[in-house]
Amino acid sequence: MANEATSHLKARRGRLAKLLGGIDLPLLLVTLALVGYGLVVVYSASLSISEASLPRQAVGVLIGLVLLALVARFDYRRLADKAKVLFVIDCILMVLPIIPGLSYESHGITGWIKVPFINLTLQTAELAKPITVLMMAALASRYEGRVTSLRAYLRLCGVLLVPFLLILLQPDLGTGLVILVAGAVVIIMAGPKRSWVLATIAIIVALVAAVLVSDSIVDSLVGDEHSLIKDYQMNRLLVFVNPTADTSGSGYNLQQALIAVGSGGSFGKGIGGATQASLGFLPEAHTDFVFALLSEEFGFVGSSLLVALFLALILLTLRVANRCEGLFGKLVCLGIAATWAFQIFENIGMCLSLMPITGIPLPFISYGSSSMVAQLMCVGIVQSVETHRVKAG
Amino acid sequence: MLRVCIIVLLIAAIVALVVLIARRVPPSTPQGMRVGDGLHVGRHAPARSRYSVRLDSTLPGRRGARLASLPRPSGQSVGADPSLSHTRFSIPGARRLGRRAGGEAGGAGTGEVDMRSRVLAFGAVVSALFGTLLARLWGMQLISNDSYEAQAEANLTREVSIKAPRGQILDRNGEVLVGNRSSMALVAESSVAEDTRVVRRISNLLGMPYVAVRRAIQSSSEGAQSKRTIMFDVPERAVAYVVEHSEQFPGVEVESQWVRSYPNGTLACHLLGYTSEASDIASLNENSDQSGITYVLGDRVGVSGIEAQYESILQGVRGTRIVHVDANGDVTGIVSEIPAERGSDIRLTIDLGAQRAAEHAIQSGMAASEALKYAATGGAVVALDCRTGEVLAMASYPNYNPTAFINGISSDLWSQLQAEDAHTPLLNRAINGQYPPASTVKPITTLAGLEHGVCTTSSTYNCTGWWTGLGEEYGKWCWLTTGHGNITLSYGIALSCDVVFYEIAKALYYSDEPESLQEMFRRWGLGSATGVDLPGESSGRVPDAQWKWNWFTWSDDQSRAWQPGDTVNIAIGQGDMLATPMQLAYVYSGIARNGTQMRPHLLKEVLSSQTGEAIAQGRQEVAANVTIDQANLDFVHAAMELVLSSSVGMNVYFDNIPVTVGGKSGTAEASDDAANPHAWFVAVAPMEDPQYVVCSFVEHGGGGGDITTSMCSEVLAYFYGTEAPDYIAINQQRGVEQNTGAGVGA
Repeated sequence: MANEATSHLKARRGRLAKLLGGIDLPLLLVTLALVGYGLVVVYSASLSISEASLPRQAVGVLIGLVLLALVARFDYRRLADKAKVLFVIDCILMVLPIIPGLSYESHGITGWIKVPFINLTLQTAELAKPITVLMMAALASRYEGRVTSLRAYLRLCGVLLVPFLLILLQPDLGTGLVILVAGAVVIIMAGPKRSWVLATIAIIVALVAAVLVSDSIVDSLVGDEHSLIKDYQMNRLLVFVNPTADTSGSGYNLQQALIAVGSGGSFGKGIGGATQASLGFLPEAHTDFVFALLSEEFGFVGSSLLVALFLALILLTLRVANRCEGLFGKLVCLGIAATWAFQIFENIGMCLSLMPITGIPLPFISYGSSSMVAQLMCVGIVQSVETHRVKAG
Repeated sequence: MLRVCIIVLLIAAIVALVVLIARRVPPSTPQGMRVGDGLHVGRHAPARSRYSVRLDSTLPGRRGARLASLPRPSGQSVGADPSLSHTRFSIPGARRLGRRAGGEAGGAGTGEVDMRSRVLAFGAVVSALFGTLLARLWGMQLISNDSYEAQAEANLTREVSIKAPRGQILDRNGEVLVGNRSSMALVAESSVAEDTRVVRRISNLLGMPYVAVRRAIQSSSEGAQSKRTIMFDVPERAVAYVVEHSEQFPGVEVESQWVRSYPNGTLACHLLGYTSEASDIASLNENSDQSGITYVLGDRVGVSGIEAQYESILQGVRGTRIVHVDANGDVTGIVSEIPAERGSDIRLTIDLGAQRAAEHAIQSGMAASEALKYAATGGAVVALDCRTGEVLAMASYPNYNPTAFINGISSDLWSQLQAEDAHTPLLNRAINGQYPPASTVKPITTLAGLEHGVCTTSSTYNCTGWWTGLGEEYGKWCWLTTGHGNITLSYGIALSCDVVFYEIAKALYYSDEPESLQEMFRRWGLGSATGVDLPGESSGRVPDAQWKWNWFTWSDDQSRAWQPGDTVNIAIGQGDMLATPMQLAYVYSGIARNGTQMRPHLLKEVLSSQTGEAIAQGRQEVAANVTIDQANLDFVHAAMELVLSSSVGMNVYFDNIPVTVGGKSGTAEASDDAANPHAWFVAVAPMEDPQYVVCSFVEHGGGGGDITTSMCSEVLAYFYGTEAPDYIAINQQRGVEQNTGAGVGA
């Protein structure tokens, strides 16, 4: 008991010192490197794409860094209490874009809300990523690393389905998958029975297959507008299976991305020298296909550096998870690492034709403030886990 | 297939993650090995005891035992889990859980060891996935880089084909008959047809009907990929508007294109022909093996006349321009260019002046015929140099304006040209107009008679105006119904007395060779095409027993059988006999040159478009050497001179010609219009050493001789640099003579 009190005292006394010394410096440096890399890429994209604005992105970075610092100071453990409240608020926010007047549509996804009176649009799905991770971690940490009750396991899965289905309504399958995968990783990490998880995967695979097969029937009954899988999603999947099938139609984007990446070579074509991106062959060169732009400009050196930085970010986050004593903290770190891992693998993978095309931004690099702020807040949460752990010695 | 494998592998990776991480289910072990067990039991209310029991039975006994054996101070354990102690879960029971977890060591400790391996497994899976990305990047950017770079380069560059202007068509003196000029054309991509606003704007701008613009854009004649020409020769104002307001005209461009120019308007339109967009490039390319030209959709090809005949010479070689483009296809720069090569020029044997004279002659002749109340629905003039076979003039009327075909002829104009009262302006009457040659064949009938001995140069005949040589019921009129009285063979030709030739024909029919007359006609080239270098020449017709039998299949055997009257009819160029003006000019060129028939031709030289030097010559060949007794030929030559010198006032026509002219007239009964017979005259000059043969023809032009002779005279006047005859004066004079019934006759 005395030891316990001493360590608490120690923790409180050292809080200020911890703010500087307590953070994970390598993680911060990797983050800053990624953000800097992203700004360079957005700058080069802005040379030829009028939509991409470096100042706007820089503002997003600044807001994100401030939030990172604030979140890092905040005791993440108090987030566990608020997770439920945040989760409910987030779910409401995700419903808002569906209400006319508040919504702002982009690329067929009504995932943005317009904040009244100020010219600001907010992508609610971006916030849903960390909040869902917090919620799932808070719930799953109750079971101490062993989900031994099937009811508890089903409950976890059920809670996860709520934000996933809400995002599907927008409809934003990409972000929905990020949330699903991150949540699933948290659940798996919480220690359910292997057979349950395998059964769940089997059910999901069967469900997806059933939906795909029945899609054409559903389309003919209610029309593509209202069916679960839109034509463009189906096309993306078909193109993924055979990318050269129709290079001027659905396969065009993928084909152009592959050409952009492949033609980058060892050292790339340099800033502004990327013909695929700057002459408009590569679509969404500043957002979804930003990796193809980066690869074309900086070549294998640049793209593998980025992959290395991302791997470092995730491994450093996992190190924080390992060092953290509490299950909640570990699960939060794992969940956040999972959101990053999935987004990065999916986004880069689609540029390399390893994954089907979905509209997922590349963390820290893609143009867009909502994503940038959300990703930096995630880093802040991980740093909070690091700063609020009790350091031995 | 590869990608399906990737999907399967990814699912496998997820399963592997689960297998690595998810809690193993060990065999049942004795309970109570862990402090934390109590927690579980306690947490789950008695109502859920079913789960509790099962839960306990599935505890990892092995791991639990290992953990329990770990020497760990309980104090540290408590301290190590501040998260739980500080957490205030709002979920019922969570606070309790936190407190208990904080209070009871072991749970967290268990978690830590448990979690470390899970985190490591997760890290391993992520590392593996990222390794896949790196491997793929390695493959794409370092190994397959060349292929992707080539694709990026292919994206950037476009090969633009440059249309080549066609070769020019010149007359024998180098005057341009068909040239080229550049025209500002409005072109559009095929998709523009779907954009009603753009189509509407173009329609307003050009003053073209909306549907016409739409049809022009949709027209598939230029191929699916190429841009469609909406209009050539777009007014400057419209060009400026489109260029300045390009945003209002997406997919629409102004392009400079080469089009044919006709400096002399309608002159020689039939023989020059016109071009149109190639529709069947497959067969074109099959036939152009020798020329080495590859046609693409949108190329203009000659479809009639010289344009079609010498397509492979006139067609240019497309150039190629490599340009840089952006994703919108906008050209950002030119990389390289192989310039287009204009097709070779063609120098024709046609003399522009003679052609003008010939066309003027037809129009004057037709006007004169009309003044005499004849229908005069068309006309033709062919002038040959009988020494070489060169076609000096070839005219046909009515004509058309070849400019109308530059942008594909409009359907309105097309139906206008096809209308009955237009009298087939597209028909080249010189080579495709087939008419009974009438009295113009009488010299050949004479030669047949002389050669087969049924008459001699001194034979005489008696013409009463009504001939009953085949019996009273088959009696036939001479054109001069009052009769010529006693008449010699040479005057028979000169005055064109029909009875003389009825007699010869009857004698030939009843000779050993009943078809010797047809044989003689054919010997001079009647009944077959002359082989002039123009496409689709008609061959005329020399009827015989075989032909008649096969032709009148619907008639009874008696009517199908050849009758002596049939031979009599063709002896004066009537019956079913047909010839073209070109054929008659060719026949007379052979007669004039004592049997040596030169192949009529229009191509004089092919000139290189680069140097202007002649690279090929037109073929000057003897088509046939007709073997005829020279004395008989001389007799016919004399008779041809006599035609003009003997007849009343006939010589007035050639008063203006400084050399002796011979010739023969013809009045052909028109089966479709008995009141308006066709008029022929074939003139040869000079008779001493014939050089020019001019054949004039007026369709439904009335009495043969007077007007057509004037027409020949006008063309000859050009060759001899003298004044053209005064049609009106002659007309008035001849009109009076016609009233007295002293015409030249058939």
